[in-house]
This record gives sequence, structure tokens and C-alpha cells, in this order.
Amino acid sequence: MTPPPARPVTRPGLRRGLWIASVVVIVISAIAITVAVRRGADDGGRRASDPVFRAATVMPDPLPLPTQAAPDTAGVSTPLATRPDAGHLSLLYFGYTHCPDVCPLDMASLAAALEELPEAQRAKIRVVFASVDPERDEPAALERWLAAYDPTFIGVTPPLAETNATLAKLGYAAVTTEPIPGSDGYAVSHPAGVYVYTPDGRAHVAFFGTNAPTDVADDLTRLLGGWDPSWVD
Amino acid sequence: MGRLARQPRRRSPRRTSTSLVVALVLVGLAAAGCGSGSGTSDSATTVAAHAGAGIRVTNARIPAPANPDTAAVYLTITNGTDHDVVLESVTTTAGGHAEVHRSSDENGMATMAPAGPMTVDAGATLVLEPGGYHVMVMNPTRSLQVGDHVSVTLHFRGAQKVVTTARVVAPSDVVAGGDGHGDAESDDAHGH
Repeated sequence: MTPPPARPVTRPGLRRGLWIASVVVIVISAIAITVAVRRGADDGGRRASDPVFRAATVMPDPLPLPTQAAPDTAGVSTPLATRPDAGHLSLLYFGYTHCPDVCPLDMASLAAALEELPEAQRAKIRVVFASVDPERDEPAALERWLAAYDPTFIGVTPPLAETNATLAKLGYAAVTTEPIPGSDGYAVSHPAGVYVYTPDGRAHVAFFGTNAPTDVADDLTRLLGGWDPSWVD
Repeated sequence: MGRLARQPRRRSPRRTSTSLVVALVLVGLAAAGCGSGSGTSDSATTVAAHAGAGIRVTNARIPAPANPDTAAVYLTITNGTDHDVVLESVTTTAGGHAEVHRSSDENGMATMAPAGPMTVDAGATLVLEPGGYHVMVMNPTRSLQVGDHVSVTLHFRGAQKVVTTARVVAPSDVVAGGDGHGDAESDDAHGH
């Protein structure tokens, strides 16, 4: 018996393999392109109906820029909010360090969001915490408190009368204090948001409460490009 | 009333794969939570309903206070009994004075006031969470550092009390994991 002739598998096999590989590559490319195109279409399609912001709330009436300045924790007179240069943002929060619930978590939420940003963007965002409790918020204590969240946060302690005048211009009620029964402490009312001033000198949006850091970071990234009036059409 | 659940946030298409991974991880965590009986308020509700358990307190946590004079405890109360219960007071081993307070928003101004006795309906879950109800601890005599544990006793009408352990966590953990999926551990407790 002669062995069966060796089947000439090599070259046609290689060809077939190459052919199959080509088809696979083409099919995968086609799928990838289709997916990419459809995704793009989805993106475009959704953008129209999506809310513009993930975490920020658009204010019905944009806040004007406060003109108030107050001593920072080093005693240097500092504006509560500056009109930011193009590509920058100025964030303003009113709170107090004896606040157990809202202020600490608002600051933690903001700090966590800022950590999500690349340093180049982070450096373009100024954050001021204006105390509504100058009685208890000694500069050193305020500085320590803020440093627990982000040492770049600027703390200012304006006289309450000046803060109330500013709040009136922004459309808010004056700060009130409420004794806490069973203690010598008191609660202080304060505007609830982190107000975001854009280069047009207005705060069109604010962050309220705690939000997912990535959502806040996404919104800040968008806002760093300046305010687009079409966002509130 | 405390908000009972949070809506999952929608992600953009470009994050679909990330969302999927996150969703799978969350499903895994939820499954793990149910298995150990120490998961979300949802799983706590389920467990309570099936076991006919008493009052359960879960997910107790304290954001490490930046001001040592004041702290807040967040937790979830599940009333697995067939009758309404009334939370009358809270004590902690952190020292100082503890009281349930409620933060609220009045025309854009955040305010805070004592909540008074709080009724948790039969079968209901009350969530004490940031921006709403919380146990305010005034002038704690202990320093509260991340990783510390504080015993928290909830006193209900009728001399019933429930003891739980609150863990001191980084404030950012409360922000990111406010629904109980975060790093905050919970210790379950049952009424006596």
C-alpha cells in the first residue's frame, strides 16, 4: 500500500486562513463603524432632549456678582466672588463650621468633584466659603475646617450685616439663627447652593446637596467653556 | 419623611461600557449585601418582612467632623413590626447631646431644626441621610476619627431601644455612597 498522497494543504490552507482573517477583519470593522456611527447618532439625538447638566441646577434668575469683600483667614480683604476670566470659574458658598449636616457634605461633595478634574482645569476654579456665623467662625478655625476638605478653599468671615445686604441683592432672605434646645449651640440658616459664576458675571447654575463627584466634575468642565445661553432655551 | 430610594443616574452613551461594569459590580454588591443581611435599605426591608423582625437599624455612619464640636449620624430605621413605632430620643457613646434634626430648604435657604418624636409606620423604612433627617451630636466629648466606632442607641416609645454601631467614615464616602453602596459598613441591630 502506498500511503495516500500527502494532501497539498499548506498553501490553499494558508490562503483560506488569510481569506477568513480578512473577512473577520472586514466584518469587525464594519460592526465597529456601524456602532460608532449609531452611537454618534444616539449622542446627537439625545443631546437635544437631555438636560444639559448632570448635577447642576439652572437658577430661574441668574444671580448677579456680589460686590462684597471680606477678610480671608489671613486677614486680607478678599472679594466673595470675582468675575472670572475666560476659561475660569468662581464658586461661592455660604455656610458655617458648626453646621452638622449640610455644609460639611456640600464641601466634601465639591472637593471630591474637583479632585476628578485634571490639575489644569482645577487650577482655574476659585472657591470661596463665606461664613454666615462670624461669631463662632474664628479665622484659624475656619481655615482648619476648610483644609479638611480642600486647602485651596478660601474662607472669608464678613460681618453678618454686610452678608445680609449681599444676600438681599442675590434674592435671598437674611440669615437667621435658631437656638438648639438642650445645648448652648444654635443653627444658622444659609443659602443652600454652591453658586457658579461664569465669565459673564452671573451665576446661572448652582449645585445643591450632595452629588456624584463625576457628575459635578462633568458640569464644571462644561461650564469652564463659559455660559451658553442656548442651554436654557 | 426620608427619601426611600435614589434614582440611578443616567449615563451618556460614551460611558455605556463603564456603566455596564458599574452596574454589574453594583448587582454583585447588592447580592452580597442580601446574602449577609447587611445591605441596602431595600434588602433590610425584605429581610424584616420575611423574618418578622423587630425594629432594625442599619447603615449607621458618621462623617468625620471637621469641626470637633458637631457631628451627624446617618442611619436607616426599618420597622419590621406590625405596629407604628415612635423614635423619642437618641444617645451615643460619643458624648455630648444627641437629637434628631431635620435640614430643610426654605426659599433657597438651608435651615435646621429639631425633628421631634418621629413615627415610623409599620413596615416602613425611614432613611436618615444628608440634607434631611440626621442625628445631630452636639459637643461630642470624644474625638471622632475615620475608622472609629460609636455605639448609638435609639429609644422608642414604650421603653424599647435599639442599639447599633456607627462607623466614622470620610465625608467623601458619605457623599459617594449615600445609598449604602459605599464603603460605609453597617451593623445590624434588633430591638430588645
